[in-house]
Amino acid sequence: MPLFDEKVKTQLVQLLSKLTNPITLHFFSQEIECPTCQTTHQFVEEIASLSDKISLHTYDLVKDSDIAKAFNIDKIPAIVVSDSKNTLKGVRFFGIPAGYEINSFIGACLEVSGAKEPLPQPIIDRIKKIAKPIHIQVFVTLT
Amino acid sequence: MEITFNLPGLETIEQRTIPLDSSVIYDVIIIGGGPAALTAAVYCMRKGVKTGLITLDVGGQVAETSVVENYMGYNHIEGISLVQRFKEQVEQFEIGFLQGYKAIQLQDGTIKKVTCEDGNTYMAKAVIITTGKRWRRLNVPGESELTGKGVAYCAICDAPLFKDKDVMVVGGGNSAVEAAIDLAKLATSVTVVQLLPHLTADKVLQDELSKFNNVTIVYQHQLKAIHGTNSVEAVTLFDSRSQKERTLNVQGIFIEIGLVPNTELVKDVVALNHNGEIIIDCNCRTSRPGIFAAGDVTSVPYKQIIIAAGEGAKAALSACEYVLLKK
Ligand SMILES: Cc1cc2nc3c(=O)[nH]c(=O)nc-3n(C[C@H](O)[C@H](O)[C@H](O)COP(=O)(O)OP(=O)(O)OC[C@H]3O[C@@H](n4cnc5c(N)ncnc54)[C@H](O)[C@@H]3O)c2cc1C
Repeated sequence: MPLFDEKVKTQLVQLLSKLTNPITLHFFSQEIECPTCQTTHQFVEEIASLSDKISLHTYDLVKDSDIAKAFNIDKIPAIVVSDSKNTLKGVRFFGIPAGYEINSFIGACLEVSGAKEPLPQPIIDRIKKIAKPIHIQVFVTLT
Repeated sequence: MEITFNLPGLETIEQRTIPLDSSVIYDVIIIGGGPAALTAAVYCMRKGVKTGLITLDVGGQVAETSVVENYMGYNHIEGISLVQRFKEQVEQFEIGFLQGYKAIQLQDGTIKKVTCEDGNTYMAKAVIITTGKRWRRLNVPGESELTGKGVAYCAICDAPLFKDKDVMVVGGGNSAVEAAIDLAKLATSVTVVQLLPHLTADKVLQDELSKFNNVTIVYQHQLKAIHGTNSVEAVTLFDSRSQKERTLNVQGIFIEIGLVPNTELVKDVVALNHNGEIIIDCNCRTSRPGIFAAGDVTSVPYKQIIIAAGEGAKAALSACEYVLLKK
């Protein structure tokens, strides 16, 4: 049974039509897949089928440990969203981006594809003033 | 395991807003993005006048409200969801929209000119000011440096960050006592600092506050300074009876001394009352022709969402009529 019903599918197609440049999803699982790995696998396959701008690579955390290391993946299921040249943009999803998280996932895909939300100039100017490296961790809840 | 996908933004109507254009003379420019502004926008667009809107953020104070239970049509709705509905209702129109910038100057004349932080000047025959209110600041040393680092204004927004901490609430009115009640449920201790010898909050709230045993009220004290390197560590209090200063260790301070109208933009253009609010008549007209105002920024009593929205509608209809008669 597909994960996306017709309604969600139509919505996703409409959203993904805004992808600017091609992107690649790198999915990490393992030979004998855990239940969430299986669902996540299906998820990435269905997502990739909804836009010809999305390609999908599937890796095994153990067998492809070099790639996993390069992508900084240490647990599965994991999805890395990169541009078509496999350049890392810092976007990794662990677990299945279901529920409301699908919005962050689609948002990340659009962002990586170059469909950026314009930032107001005063904010850009302020960010440019940051002189030292800083580490930001954002914790969010849905409510 | 049943898996669902919640794509909320998608059932909404297509977004039709267009960028605000500095080469166009608009019929009406609305300044602000709260309930007054967004309602005015819908009314202007439905009247078919060429409309622009400039706002720093969308939602205004409603975006900072956890739950609203007195806006008709909703028994109970999160502030942020109500803002989303308002926004969607505006976005179905081709309105000139500029978000993220403050309007910094308003020049009166037959054509009004609004200069904005983005460096552009926008033109309109009529302007509606709906810039609302913001939290009043104490203006003591340490306050601005430590804002967001222990100094807070919105208890509804930030109280959970002070779980198991020692916090202080400055003020004695309804918002201060409400903040103290919210905080007393989470914080280790709450000290309410009040300038007067008594609280001015409603009795029901004072009674509620007295039920907590982790709350201390210090009367006739003034907060003089806030100390801390990376976050709030202590405050200096001044006892107005003994005229002595003392230091108290706290990790959080909620400054709850009311709201001030955002009238910097218009203070030299239109008449304000003694509270700094824009004086309007029952048609939302200010002291200058073609400049209208609505919502919390005005002299209209009772600051509520439904009132701001209603006033926004009225200001829009008034402005549309003004523009029509000018033609
Ligand atoms: C914590 C809290 C809880 C509340 N709870 C309720 C409630 O339950 N029910 C109720 O009815 N009311 C409630 N209120 C009051 C209600 O939120 C306000 O009455 C209402 O939001 C006023 O709307 P407004 O459009 O006039 O102004 P605001 O909501 O203040 O909006 C002003 C807008 O103008 C923008 N702005 C300001 N200056 C400029 C500038 N120079 N240039 C561009 N943009 C500018 C701001 O960014 C903002 O978007 C609450 C208020 C607070 C603070």
